[in-house]
Amino acid sequence: MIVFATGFLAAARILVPAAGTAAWISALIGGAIGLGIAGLAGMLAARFPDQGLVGMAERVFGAPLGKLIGLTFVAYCSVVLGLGSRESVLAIWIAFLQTTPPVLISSVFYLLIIYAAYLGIEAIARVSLIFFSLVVISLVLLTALAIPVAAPTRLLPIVGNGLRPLIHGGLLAASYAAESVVVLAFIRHLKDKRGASRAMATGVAVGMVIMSTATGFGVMMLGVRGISRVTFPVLETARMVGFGQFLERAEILFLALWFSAALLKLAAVFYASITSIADVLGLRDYRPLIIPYALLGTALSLIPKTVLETFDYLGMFVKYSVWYAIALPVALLIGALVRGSRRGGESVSDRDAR
Amino acid sequence: MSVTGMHARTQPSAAWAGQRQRRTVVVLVCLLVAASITGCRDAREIESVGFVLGLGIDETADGRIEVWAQVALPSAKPTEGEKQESWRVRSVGDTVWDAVRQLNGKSTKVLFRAHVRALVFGERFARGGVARALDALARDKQFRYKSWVFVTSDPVGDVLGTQTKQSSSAALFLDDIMRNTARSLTAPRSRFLDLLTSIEQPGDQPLLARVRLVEAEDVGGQPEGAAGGQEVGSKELRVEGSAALRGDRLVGWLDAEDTAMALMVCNRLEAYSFIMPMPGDEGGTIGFDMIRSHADTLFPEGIRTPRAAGQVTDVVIRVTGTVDIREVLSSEQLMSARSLERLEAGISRHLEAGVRRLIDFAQNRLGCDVLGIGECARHRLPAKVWEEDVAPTWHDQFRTMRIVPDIRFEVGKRGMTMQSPKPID
Repeated sequence: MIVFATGFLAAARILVPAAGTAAWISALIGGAIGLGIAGLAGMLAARFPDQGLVGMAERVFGAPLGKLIGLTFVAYCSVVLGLGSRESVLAIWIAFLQTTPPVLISSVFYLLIIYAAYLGIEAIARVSLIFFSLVVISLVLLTALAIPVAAPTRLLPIVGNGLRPLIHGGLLAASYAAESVVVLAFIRHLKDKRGASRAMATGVAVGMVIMSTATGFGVMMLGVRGISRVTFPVLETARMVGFGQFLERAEILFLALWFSAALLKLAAVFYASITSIADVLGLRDYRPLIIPYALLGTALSLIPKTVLETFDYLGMFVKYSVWYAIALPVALLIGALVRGSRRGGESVSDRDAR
Repeated sequence: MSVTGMHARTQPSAAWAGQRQRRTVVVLVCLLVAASITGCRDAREIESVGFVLGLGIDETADGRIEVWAQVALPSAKPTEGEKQESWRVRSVGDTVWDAVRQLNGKSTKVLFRAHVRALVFGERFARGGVARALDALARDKQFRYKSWVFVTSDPVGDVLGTQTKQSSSAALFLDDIMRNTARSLTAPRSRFLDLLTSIEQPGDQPLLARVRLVEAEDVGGQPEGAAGGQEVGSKELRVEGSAALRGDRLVGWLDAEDTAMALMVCNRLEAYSFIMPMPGDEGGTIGFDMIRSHADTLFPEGIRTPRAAGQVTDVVIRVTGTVDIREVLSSEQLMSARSLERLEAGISRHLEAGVRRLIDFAQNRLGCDVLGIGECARHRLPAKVWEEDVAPTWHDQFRTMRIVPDIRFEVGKRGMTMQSPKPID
């Protein structure tokens, strides 16, 4: 859910201008890159099974540099959180709750995130398990209902704007898959550490297939120009589908489920961020950080004043963040190999869990 | 991540657990209260909502925009005979949105546009460009992209005001026609979404269904005109043929047969019935149902290169398909292989002539690619080549290229009888 829950709402707006009709393929290429990142992260998790990201960085590079790397990770998570929550809030505000102030929707969003963060990663994971299947069912249903409206020839030419733009689109899409590095902050909670790589890879693969399908159907229904024009392509797709004359205008049902998925993703990112801050500061408990960080997150999510600004920031984020997500595990792995670091240490979440 | 594989490391003390339970209860109570009062502040009863079923847009003689809305009037007594089921309202403004917002001031109900079934453009407005309406409608969060789009040469108000006994309003009648009789309709099933996507593609220009007001036919002996739905002398709606647009502007009308040919060439023809003279029997006729057709647009080799793509001069439209025999009024009963071969050749010639007429009309009168040839070229070309080199001049290329129809149809089923019943003289 970390991979697709917020990004898929507007991913097509970013991928289609780059790759054209082949945007869905670029999502798959992004998935392949994401699998590589997941593999690297899995190798890290296998090397430091009892460490959070800050712990790993401190073990490899020493405390000062490790904390600095931890702070860059917190900054990354904060941007994911700010942009993700803004995107979700906008989707609800523009399409459904036009008279509700967005700050109010954002506040409700963060109240729920705060509650989830208080309960901890186990609660988030267990609720995700319930909602993941519901979200997948909703997407399968949406796909089935979209088939009669879709025009497959709109996916031609198959390579879209050409090979180079396709790869460029793949790199943009990879930034969504790369968000899976957030898991490094809490992957130590896995019982079966050896399965970390596989679990992350499965998540990335499923997430990017969903994103590719959503993008492909968006193009088939709205065309390349249409999809670049609409604010939230997936939402527009949901608006157009129906079954007979009795199941129409069902987009709110879809959005309610997707909103829940986005909430859980952002709760996980929020948790990753505050536990990393606690690790950097050497705090025994992350909970005192929840309220201040939630206020920061709300403020961050309100920085883009307009939809246009939000998508500008989002465009910049997907352009560059993938390199950070690749560099982080690569640097840690190379450092660990050079220094021969392995295992050991304790971090705030472990202390908290006890 | 496997939750079952996750450590349940958090083991709160009893006090902490109790506190957490109390908090959970407080949160749940807050959520329940919030959920139960949602919408109370600005609640609207269904009687106060005007469901817009049809929207008509035209241009007045002095260049202003007039908008018609056909609004359903929900009633607690649907069977009440004298109860008006729908209501029409008109407003005039400088732009489409200006006229739409003025509609609200003329209605005692809150106009709700999420159920618009039919969007009807008047001819004058369509000739001036339908894009003037698209922006306002595409931005509207209520308006549905699946609404049917029609163009009419008759007054839009009269079209939406037509009384029909088959449906409670003209808009619902048009919706029923498009949904239920698609297989026998010689009009494109044009939706708002298709219009949005095709006005931007020079190689896939829009064909919109045409709706006309025609004199209601005499229902011949049935009391009170019950069978046809209209009284004799009144007008009724007919969906037939299409309006051809170049970009967003109406450039001409296609009759039912031309429309069927255009849809066949674009692989959008669901079914088509036609009658033609029986080959080899002057005076005899034969009727068919087209049950399958498939069109391929064949380009010369090397079209993928920008230079070749910019100079397409020859295109072959190959259509293959099957027709079922539905009626034979001829002494020729088609009982030999040779007669069937002659018939198939005749069918192919008949349809080929129709396609040739359409090509001539599209190239010389309309000047736009309603055949979807450009769309087929776009599929074969790198997107950049199409967008930069071909699309800007496609209309001109289309007008000058040599398009050759190659139609090959075969006869399928001949019905439940091999020969016509033959009366004794």
